[in-house]
Amino acid sequence: MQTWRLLPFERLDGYENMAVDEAVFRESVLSGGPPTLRFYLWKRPVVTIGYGQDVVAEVNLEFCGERNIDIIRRPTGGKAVYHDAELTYSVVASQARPPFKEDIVTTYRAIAACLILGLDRLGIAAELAERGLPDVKDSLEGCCFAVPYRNELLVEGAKICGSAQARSRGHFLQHGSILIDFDALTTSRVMTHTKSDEKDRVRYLERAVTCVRKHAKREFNEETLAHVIGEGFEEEMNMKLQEEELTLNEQTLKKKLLSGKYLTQKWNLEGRT
Amino acid sequence: MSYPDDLLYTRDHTWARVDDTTVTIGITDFAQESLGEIISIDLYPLDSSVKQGEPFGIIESDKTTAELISPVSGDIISVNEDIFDDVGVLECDVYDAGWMIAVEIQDLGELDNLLDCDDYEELVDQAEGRR
Repeated sequence: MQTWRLLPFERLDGYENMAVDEAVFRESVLSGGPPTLRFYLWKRPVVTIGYGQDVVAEVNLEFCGERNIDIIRRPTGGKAVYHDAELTYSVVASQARPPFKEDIVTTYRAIAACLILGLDRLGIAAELAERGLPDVKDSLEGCCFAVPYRNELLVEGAKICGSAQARSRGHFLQHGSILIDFDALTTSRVMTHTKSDEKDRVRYLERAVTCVRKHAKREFNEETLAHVIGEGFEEEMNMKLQEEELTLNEQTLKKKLLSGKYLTQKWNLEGRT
Repeated sequence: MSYPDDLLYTRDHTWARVDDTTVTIGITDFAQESLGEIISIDLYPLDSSVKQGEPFGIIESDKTTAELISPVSGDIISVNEDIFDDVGVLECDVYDAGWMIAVEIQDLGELDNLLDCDDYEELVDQAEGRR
Protein backbone atom coordinates (compact mmCIF):
# COMPACT_ATOMS: atom_id res chain seq x y z
CA MET A 1 0.00 0.00 0.00
CA GLN A 2 1.40 3.40 -0.92
CA THR A 3 1.84 6.19 1.61
CA TRP A 4 1.10 9.88 1.34
CA ARG A 5 2.69 12.51 3.50
CA LEU A 6 0.35 14.25 5.95
CA LEU A 7 1.59 17.64 7.15
CA PRO A 8 0.83 18.82 10.70
CA PHE A 9 -2.65 20.20 11.29
CA GLU A 10 -2.17 23.85 12.15
CA ARG A 11 -3.74 27.27 12.41
CA LEU A 12 -1.70 29.94 10.63
CA ASP A 13 -2.36 33.38 9.26
CA GLY A 14 -3.40 33.59 5.62
CA TYR A 15 0.00 34.69 4.34
CA GLU A 16 1.71 31.67 5.89
CA ASN A 17 -1.00 29.29 4.74
CA MET A 18 -0.51 30.33 1.12
CA ALA A 19 3.28 30.30 1.44
CA VAL A 20 3.26 26.74 2.82
CA ASP A 21 0.96 25.47 0.06
CA GLU A 22 3.09 27.03 -2.66
CA ALA A 23 6.38 25.90 -1.08
CA VAL A 24 5.18 22.29 -0.99
CA PHE A 25 3.98 22.60 -4.60
CA ARG A 26 7.24 24.13 -5.88
CA GLU A 27 9.34 21.53 -4.08
CA SER A 28 7.21 18.76 -5.53
CA VAL A 29 7.83 20.16 -9.03
CA LEU A 30 11.59 20.21 -8.35
CA SER A 31 12.08 17.03 -6.35
CA GLY A 32 9.01 14.81 -6.81
CA GLY A 33 8.21 12.71 -3.76
CA PRO A 34 4.94 11.19 -2.57
CA PRO A 35 1.66 13.12 -2.67
CA THR A 36 1.16 15.51 0.24
CA LEU A 37 -2.07 16.22 2.09
CA ARG A 38 -2.47 19.12 4.45
CA PHE A 39 -5.34 20.39 6.60
CA TYR A 40 -5.28 23.84 8.07
CA LEU A 41 -7.21 26.63 9.77
CA TRP A 42 -6.93 30.43 9.68
CA LYS A 43 -5.74 32.53 12.65
CA ARG A 44 -7.99 35.41 11.62
CA PRO A 45 -10.50 35.97 8.82
CA VAL A 46 -9.05 36.35 5.35
CA VAL A 47 -10.33 36.97 1.85
CA THR A 48 -8.32 35.13 -0.77
CA ILE A 49 -8.70 36.04 -4.41
CA GLY A 50 -7.94 33.93 -7.45
CA TYR A 51 -4.62 34.33 -9.26
CA GLY A 52 -6.01 36.55 -12.00
CA GLN A 53 -8.78 38.42 -10.18
CA ASP A 54 -8.92 42.20 -10.06
CA VAL A 55 -8.95 42.89 -6.31
CA VAL A 56 -10.35 46.41 -6.66
CA ALA A 57 -13.20 45.23 -8.86
CA GLU A 58 -14.09 42.21 -6.72
CA VAL A 59 -13.32 42.94 -3.06
CA ASN A 60 -14.75 45.62 -0.75
CA LEU A 61 -11.39 46.97 0.44
CA GLU A 62 -12.95 49.48 2.82
CA PHE A 63 -15.03 46.86 4.64
CA CYS A 64 -12.08 44.47 4.85
CA GLY A 65 -9.87 47.28 6.21
CA GLU A 66 -12.42 48.21 8.91
CA ARG A 67 -12.71 44.56 10.01
CA ASN A 68 -8.97 43.77 9.79
CA ILE A 69 -9.67 41.10 7.19
CA ASP A 70 -6.46 40.28 5.30
CA ILE A 71 -6.63 40.14 1.52
CA ILE A 72 -4.33 37.62 -0.12
CA ARG A 73 -3.90 36.53 -3.71
CA ARG A 74 -3.75 32.75 -4.17
CA PRO A 75 -1.39 30.94 -6.53
CA THR A 76 -4.45 29.04 -7.78
CA GLY A 77 -7.25 30.08 -10.10
CA GLY A 78 -10.89 30.55 -9.21
CA LYS A 79 -12.79 33.25 -7.40
CA ALA A 80 -12.76 35.10 -4.09
CA VAL A 81 -13.27 33.15 -0.84
CA TYR A 82 -13.97 34.48 2.64
CA HIS A 83 -12.12 32.14 5.03
CA ASP A 84 -13.25 32.03 8.62
CA ALA A 85 -15.04 29.02 10.10
CA GLU A 86 -13.77 26.40 7.71
CA LEU A 87 -11.38 23.50 7.33
CA THR A 88 -9.06 23.98 4.39
CA TYR A 89 -7.35 21.07 2.65
CA SER A 90 -4.54 21.07 0.15
CA VAL A 91 -3.22 18.25 -2.03
CA VAL A 92 0.06 18.35 -3.94
CA ALA A 93 0.87 15.45 -6.28
CA SER A 94 2.13 14.45 -9.67
CA GLN A 95 -0.55 14.72 -12.33
CA ALA A 96 0.54 11.38 -13.73
CA ARG A 97 0.15 9.46 -10.46
CA PRO A 98 -3.01 7.34 -10.58
CA PRO A 99 -5.84 8.00 -9.98
CA PHE A 100 -4.87 11.49 -11.11
CA LYS A 101 -4.48 12.25 -14.78
CA GLU A 102 -3.31 15.20 -16.76
CA ASP A 103 -6.81 16.48 -17.30
CA ILE A 104 -8.13 18.77 -14.63
CA VAL A 105 -11.60 17.29 -14.37
CA THR A 106 -10.28 13.83 -13.43
CA THR A 107 -8.23 15.37 -10.61
CA TYR A 108 -11.21 17.33 -9.29
CA ARG A 109 -13.40 14.25 -9.37
CA ALA A 110 -10.78 12.05 -7.67
CA ILE A 111 -10.36 14.50 -4.78
CA ALA A 112 -14.10 15.12 -4.56
CA ALA A 113 -14.60 11.36 -4.10
CA CYS A 114 -12.27 11.50 -1.05
CA LEU A 115 -14.16 14.45 0.42
CA ILE A 116 -17.50 12.70 -0.14
CA LEU A 117 -16.30 9.63 1.79
CA GLY A 118 -14.95 11.82 4.58
CA LEU A 119 -18.15 13.83 4.94
CA ASP A 120 -20.15 10.59 4.88
CA ARG A 121 -18.43 9.64 8.15
CA LEU A 122 -20.30 12.54 9.73
CA GLY A 123 -23.53 11.44 8.07
CA ILE A 124 -23.37 14.13 5.39
CA ALA A 125 -24.48 13.06 1.93
CA ALA A 126 -22.44 15.22 -0.43
CA GLU A 127 -22.52 14.81 -4.20
CA LEU A 128 -20.78 16.19 -7.25
CA ALA A 129 -22.32 19.16 -8.99
CA GLU A 130 -23.07 17.89 -12.49
CA ARG A 131 -23.25 21.41 -13.87
CA GLY A 132 -22.80 24.95 -12.64
CA LEU A 133 -25.63 27.19 -11.50
CA PRO A 134 -26.66 29.37 -14.43
CA ASP A 135 -28.49 32.05 -12.43
CA VAL A 136 -25.80 33.51 -10.18
CA LYS A 137 -27.03 36.59 -8.38
CA ASP A 138 -25.65 39.70 -10.05
CA SER A 139 -22.60 41.21 -8.39
CA LEU A 140 -21.75 37.91 -6.66
CA GLU A 141 -20.08 36.49 -9.75
CA GLY A 142 -16.62 37.06 -8.27
CA CYS A 143 -17.48 35.04 -5.14
CA CYS A 144 -16.43 31.37 -5.17
CA PHE A 145 -19.25 30.03 -3.04
CA ALA A 146 -21.92 31.76 -5.13
CA VAL A 147 -20.83 29.80 -8.18
CA PRO A 148 -20.84 26.01 -8.00
CA TYR A 149 -18.79 24.64 -10.88
CA ARG A 150 -19.18 21.20 -12.32
CA ASN A 151 -17.48 18.58 -10.11
CA GLU A 152 -17.61 20.63 -6.92
CA LEU A 153 -19.42 19.41 -3.84
CA LEU A 154 -23.05 20.03 -3.04
CA VAL A 155 -25.26 18.95 -0.15
CA GLU A 156 -28.98 19.12 -0.89
CA GLY A 157 -28.18 21.32 -3.89
CA ALA A 158 -26.09 23.88 -1.94
CA LYS A 159 -22.31 24.27 -2.20
CA ILE A 160 -20.33 23.04 0.83
CA CYS A 161 -16.79 23.05 -0.56
CA GLY A 162 -15.02 25.22 -3.13
CA SER A 163 -11.68 24.24 -4.66
CA ALA A 164 -9.05 25.63 -7.02
CA GLN A 165 -5.88 24.38 -8.69
CA ALA A 166 -2.46 25.43 -9.92
CA ARG A 167 -0.40 23.29 -12.31
CA SER A 168 3.23 23.27 -13.31
CA ARG A 169 5.49 20.80 -15.04
CA GLY A 170 3.45 17.70 -14.37
CA HIS A 171 2.43 18.54 -10.78
CA PHE A 172 -0.63 20.13 -9.27
CA LEU A 173 -1.70 21.92 -6.12
CA GLN A 174 -5.39 21.76 -5.31
CA HIS A 175 -6.73 23.47 -2.23
CA GLY A 176 -10.26 23.93 -1.08
CA SER A 177 -12.48 25.24 1.69
CA ILE A 178 -14.86 22.95 3.53
CA LEU A 179 -17.28 25.26 5.30
CA ILE A 180 -17.87 24.46 8.97
CA ASP A 181 -20.20 27.42 9.47
CA PHE A 182 -21.38 29.91 6.90
CA ASP A 183 -21.74 33.66 7.43
CA ALA A 184 -23.76 34.87 4.43
CA LEU A 185 -23.81 38.51 5.53
CA THR A 186 -20.03 38.87 5.88
CA THR A 187 -19.44 36.83 2.73
CA SER A 188 -21.68 39.27 0.88
CA ARG A 189 -20.08 42.33 2.43
CA VAL A 190 -16.48 41.42 1.62
CA MET A 191 -17.39 41.54 -2.07
CA THR A 192 -17.78 44.70 -4.14
CA HIS A 193 -21.33 45.40 -5.21
CA THR A 194 -22.70 47.76 -7.73
CA LYS A 195 -26.11 46.24 -8.11
CA SER A 196 -28.74 44.36 -6.14
CA ASP A 197 -30.01 44.75 -2.63
CA GLU A 198 -28.01 43.32 0.31
CA LYS A 199 -31.00 41.35 1.58
CA ASP A 200 -31.38 39.73 -1.85
CA ARG A 201 -27.71 38.82 -1.94
CA VAL A 202 -27.78 37.31 1.55
CA ARG A 203 -30.95 35.39 0.75
CA TYR A 204 -29.32 34.07 -2.40
CA LEU A 205 -26.18 32.97 -0.55
CA GLU A 206 -28.18 31.31 2.20
CA ARG A 207 -29.89 29.19 -0.46
CA ALA A 208 -26.81 28.51 -2.58
CA VAL A 209 -24.32 27.71 0.20
CA THR A 210 -24.37 25.30 3.12
CA CYS A 211 -21.97 24.05 5.81
CA VAL A 212 -20.92 20.99 7.81
CA ARG A 213 -22.61 22.22 11.00
CA LYS A 214 -25.99 22.22 9.28
CA HIS A 215 -25.85 18.62 8.08
CA ALA A 216 -23.55 16.67 10.43
CA LYS A 217 -25.35 13.80 12.16
CA ARG A 218 -22.78 13.50 14.90
CA GLU A 219 -20.70 15.84 17.01
CA PHE A 220 -17.46 17.07 15.54
CA ASN A 221 -14.81 19.73 15.93
CA GLU A 222 -12.12 21.01 13.58
CA GLU A 223 -9.73 18.17 14.44
CA THR A 224 -12.28 15.41 14.05
CA LEU A 225 -13.42 16.89 10.75
CA ALA A 226 -9.83 16.86 9.49
CA HIS A 227 -9.48 13.30 10.74
CA VAL A 228 -12.54 11.94 8.96
CA ILE A 229 -11.68 13.75 5.73
CA GLY A 230 -8.19 12.24 5.98
CA GLU A 231 -9.80 8.79 6.37
CA GLY A 232 -11.84 9.53 3.26
CA PHE A 233 -8.60 10.15 1.34
CA GLU A 234 -7.04 6.94 2.71
CA GLU A 235 -10.03 4.84 1.72
CA GLU A 236 -10.59 6.34 -1.72
CA MET A 237 -6.91 6.47 -2.67
CA ASN A 238 -6.08 3.11 -1.04
CA MET A 239 -3.11 4.57 0.82
CA LYS A 240 -1.88 5.29 4.32
CA LEU A 241 -1.22 8.81 5.59
CA GLN A 242 2.10 9.29 7.35
CA GLU A 243 2.63 12.42 9.43
CA GLU A 244 5.75 14.38 8.55
CA GLU A 245 7.01 17.92 8.94
CA LEU A 246 7.94 20.28 6.12
CA THR A 247 11.39 19.48 4.73
CA LEU A 248 14.21 21.99 5.23
CA ASN A 249 13.95 23.02 1.58
CA GLU A 250 10.23 23.61 1.97
CA GLN A 251 10.78 25.67 5.13
CA THR A 252 13.37 27.81 3.38
CA LEU A 253 11.13 28.30 0.35
CA LYS A 254 8.17 29.12 2.58
CA LYS A 255 10.14 31.95 4.21
CA LYS A 256 11.22 33.23 0.82
CA LEU A 257 7.68 33.16 -0.56
CA LEU A 258 6.39 34.86 2.56
CA SER A 259 8.74 37.85 2.41
CA GLY A 260 9.05 38.10 -1.38
CA LYS A 261 5.46 37.41 -2.36
CA TYR A 262 2.62 36.84 0.07
CA LEU A 263 3.45 39.66 2.48
CA THR A 264 3.76 42.17 -0.36
CA GLN A 265 1.01 44.48 -1.58
CA LYS A 266 2.45 44.16 -5.06
CA TRP A 267 1.45 40.50 -5.19
CA ASN A 268 -1.76 40.70 -3.21
CA LEU A 269 -3.16 43.80 -4.89
CA GLU A 270 -1.51 43.83 -8.32
CA GLY A 271 -0.66 40.18 -8.90
CA ARG A 272 3.03 40.90 -9.51
CA THR A 273 6.12 39.81 -7.60
CA MET B 1 -6.75 13.97 -31.94
CA SER B 2 -3.87 14.45 -34.39
CA TYR B 3 -1.04 16.96 -34.16
CA PRO B 4 0.62 18.98 -36.94
CA ASP B 5 3.71 17.21 -38.22
CA ASP B 6 5.64 20.42 -38.88
CA LEU B 7 5.84 21.22 -35.14
CA LEU B 8 7.90 19.92 -32.22
CA TYR B 9 6.34 19.33 -28.80
CA THR B 10 7.14 19.26 -25.08
CA ARG B 11 5.89 16.91 -22.38
CA ASP B 12 4.27 20.01 -20.89
CA HIS B 13 1.95 20.36 -23.89
CA THR B 14 3.53 23.31 -25.64
CA TRP B 15 4.54 23.29 -29.31
CA ALA B 16 7.44 24.89 -31.19
CA ARG B 17 7.50 25.98 -34.85
CA VAL B 18 11.12 26.39 -35.98
CA ASP B 19 12.02 28.86 -38.72
CA ASP B 20 15.79 29.22 -38.89
CA THR B 21 16.66 30.57 -35.42
CA THR B 22 13.17 31.87 -34.65
CA VAL B 23 10.95 29.54 -32.65
CA THR B 24 7.26 30.34 -32.35
CA ILE B 25 5.56 28.81 -29.30
CA GLY B 26 2.01 27.98 -28.23
CA ILE B 27 -0.06 25.31 -26.44
CA THR B 28 -1.49 22.15 -27.95
CA ASP B 29 -5.12 21.18 -28.50
CA PHE B 30 -4.77 18.69 -25.65
CA ALA B 31 -3.66 21.43 -23.24
CA GLN B 32 -6.44 23.74 -24.32
CA GLU B 33 -9.10 21.05 -23.97
CA SER B 34 -7.95 19.87 -20.58
CA LEU B 35 -7.80 23.40 -19.19
CA GLY B 36 -11.48 24.05 -19.91
CA GLU B 37 -12.72 27.59 -20.41
CA ILE B 38 -9.69 29.86 -20.66
CA ILE B 39 -10.08 33.20 -18.88
CA SER B 40 -6.75 34.95 -19.23
CA ILE B 41 -3.12 34.64 -20.29
CA ASP B 42 -0.12 36.31 -18.76
CA LEU B 43 3.06 36.14 -20.89
CA TYR B 44 6.61 37.24 -20.17
CA PRO B 45 7.30 40.58 -21.85
CA LEU B 46 9.23 41.31 -25.01
CA ASP B 47 13.05 41.12 -24.63
CA SER B 48 12.91 38.93 -21.52
CA SER B 49 14.73 35.61 -21.52
CA VAL B 50 13.21 32.18 -21.24
CA LYS B 51 14.83 28.82 -20.54
CA GLN B 52 13.99 25.40 -21.88
CA GLY B 53 11.71 23.65 -19.39
CA GLU B 54 10.98 26.87 -17.49
CA PRO B 55 7.85 29.05 -17.54
CA PHE B 56 7.19 31.79 -20.10
CA GLY B 57 3.79 32.72 -18.70
CA ILE B 58 0.66 31.55 -16.95
CA ILE B 59 -2.68 30.58 -18.41
CA GLU B 60 -5.80 30.68 -16.26
CA SER B 61 -8.99 28.76 -16.81
CA ASP B 62 -12.11 28.92 -14.67
CA LYS B 63 -10.60 26.88 -11.82
CA THR B 64 -6.92 26.45 -12.59
CA THR B 65 -3.73 28.33 -13.24
CA ALA B 66 -1.12 26.51 -15.31
CA GLU B 67 2.43 27.57 -16.05
CA LEU B 68 3.32 27.68 -19.74
CA ILE B 69 6.62 25.86 -20.24
CA SER B 70 9.07 26.97 -22.88
CA PRO B 71 10.38 24.37 -25.36
CA VAL B 72 13.62 26.32 -25.90
CA SER B 73 15.92 28.91 -24.34
CA GLY B 74 16.39 32.38 -25.76
CA ASP B 75 15.14 35.95 -25.83
CA ILE B 76 11.51 36.75 -26.54
CA ILE B 77 11.42 38.71 -29.80
CA SER B 78 7.66 38.83 -30.26
CA VAL B 79 4.52 38.47 -28.10
CA ASN B 80 1.05 37.83 -29.49
CA GLU B 81 -0.81 40.60 -27.70
CA ASP B 82 -3.99 39.92 -29.67
CA ILE B 83 -4.76 36.89 -27.51
CA PHE B 84 -4.87 39.01 -24.34
CA ASP B 85 -8.09 40.56 -25.59
CA ASP B 86 -9.43 37.46 -27.31
CA VAL B 87 -8.47 34.31 -25.45
CA GLY B 88 -11.34 32.60 -27.29
CA VAL B 89 -9.05 32.22 -30.28
CA LEU B 90 -7.36 29.40 -28.36
CA GLU B 91 -10.51 27.34 -28.57
CA CYS B 92 -10.49 27.35 -32.38
CA ASP B 93 -6.91 27.93 -33.53
CA VAL B 94 -4.12 27.02 -31.09
CA TYR B 95 -1.54 26.41 -33.82
CA ASP B 96 -1.77 29.63 -35.82
CA ALA B 97 -3.74 32.62 -34.51
CA GLY B 98 -3.25 31.23 -30.99
CA TRP B 99 0.57 31.43 -31.01
CA MET B 100 1.93 33.06 -27.86
CA ILE B 101 5.57 34.11 -28.11
CA ALA B 102 8.45 33.92 -30.57
CA VAL B 103 11.96 33.30 -29.27
CA GLU B 104 15.38 33.77 -30.83
CA ILE B 105 16.88 30.39 -29.98
CA GLN B 106 20.39 30.27 -28.51
CA ASP B 107 21.20 26.60 -28.94
CA LEU B 108 19.66 24.65 -31.82
CA GLY B 109 20.78 21.46 -30.06
CA GLU B 110 17.92 21.98 -27.58
CA LEU B 111 15.52 20.95 -30.35
CA ASP B 112 16.78 17.38 -29.93
CA ASN B 113 15.07 17.32 -26.52
CA LEU B 114 11.64 17.88 -28.07
CA LEU B 115 9.09 15.34 -29.32
CA ASP B 116 7.88 14.88 -32.89
CA CYS B 117 4.14 14.62 -33.55
CA ASP B 118 4.04 10.80 -33.29
CA ASP B 119 5.85 10.75 -29.94
CA TYR B 120 3.65 13.55 -28.66
CA GLU B 121 0.50 11.73 -29.74
CA GLU B 122 1.73 8.66 -27.87
CA LEU B 123 2.34 10.79 -24.78
CA VAL B 124 -1.21 12.15 -24.93
CA ASP B 125 -2.64 8.68 -25.45
CA GLN B 126 -0.79 7.51 -22.34
CA ALA B 127 -1.99 10.53 -20.37
CA GLU B 128 -5.55 9.71 -21.34
CA GLY B 129 -5.09 6.05 -20.47
CA ARG B 130 -5.48 4.80 -24.04
CA ARG B 131 -2.13 3.01 -24.13
